[in-house]
Amino acid sequence: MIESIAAGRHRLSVGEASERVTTSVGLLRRTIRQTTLSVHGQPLIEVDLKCSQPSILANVLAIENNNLSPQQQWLLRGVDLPKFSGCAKADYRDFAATVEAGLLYERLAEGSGLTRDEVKKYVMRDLFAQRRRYDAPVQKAFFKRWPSVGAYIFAVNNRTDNPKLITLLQTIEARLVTQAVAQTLADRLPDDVGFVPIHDCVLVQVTHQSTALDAFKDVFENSRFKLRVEAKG
Amino acid sequence: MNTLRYWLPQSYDAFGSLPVASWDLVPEAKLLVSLLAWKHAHQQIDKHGFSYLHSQWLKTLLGRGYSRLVNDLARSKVIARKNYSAGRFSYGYRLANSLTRCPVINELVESTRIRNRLAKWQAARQAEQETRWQPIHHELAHIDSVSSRSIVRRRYGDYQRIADLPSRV
Repeated sequence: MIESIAAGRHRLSVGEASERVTTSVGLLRRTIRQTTLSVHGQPLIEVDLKCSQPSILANVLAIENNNLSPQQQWLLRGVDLPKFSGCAKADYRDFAATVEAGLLYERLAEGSGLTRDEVKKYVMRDLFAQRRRYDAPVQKAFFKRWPSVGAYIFAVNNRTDNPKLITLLQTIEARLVTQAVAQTLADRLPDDVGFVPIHDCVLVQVTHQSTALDAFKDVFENSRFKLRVEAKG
Repeated sequence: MNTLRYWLPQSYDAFGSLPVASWDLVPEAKLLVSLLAWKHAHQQIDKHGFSYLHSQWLKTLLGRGYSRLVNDLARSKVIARKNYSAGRFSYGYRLANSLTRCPVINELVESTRIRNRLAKWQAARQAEQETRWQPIHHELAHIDSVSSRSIVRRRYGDYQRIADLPSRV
């Protein structure tokens, strides 16, 4: 893979179901990306959307369908999500505050006895991509803490002939990062400076870290989404 | 320049794994074993080690001798096959344990017919892909192809154990 990238055979593909962009660099393991890649001798940094899909879910649930901004309409086009009626409930407000603070995985780790990394994997498998409720520690911890959000997730996943919640969230994430943020960055960075979007983060040279952070923030502001980004060295 | 390479287990003997009557299918056998070795290394397998490969896709890559090739490789125990389930999953294929445990080597694809089939398949896939592309995706592909030559700082060897390769990110 590294040889292919070095030889300029960089691949890019766009997923059919969720518009996710997959690139040769994105397929490399994170540790290899961090130790192996550089641009013109400069190390790269990942500007990462924190707690990405849960945060997007919290924001989407708060949107009122009759009051969408043009950017929100663009982000949500074709994404068929039922209306969430629990925005005023205390558990939803706690969920939104937790994901905005980037502490979802930590809270679920406390409630389930798993490690943060295990929780991160199981949130996707046992919640966002799951149609069935069973005795999974992450499911139990999630329902105990945020029952109305949990019920909404399973209501979405159990609709027949509809994509699961994870696919819908990945679609919005792809539009946010690999389309809106990438377009903003492409406009702002000099022509000879490359960057690579990888699902919920963008890989840029260290010197362009602030440009990337600003691009994320401007896109969030335009779409009225409360999301957080962080730079990982 | 031909840069296509098989990704073969070092101990795999393509001629030894096929009867003499099927030696015309040696390039196809290397391609199938290469695909399975790659899938195994990248953990694209189920809990029993099977990779599910769509027969139509295999026919496109392996040609008319596909069925004979699979039977011969299964008979010589290079691969094991798991039955398909209509509408749910395709035939599953698994390499012999002795092949998944040994190091892999890269070998140049010298067969013109395999190179042509791969090129044709790749072109069709790219055309189908680009129907989904937005303007930014074309821009990203351009940015990447220009900058990717300069982004690799350290080269990895041509030769690694399958088990040491990174799994999917």
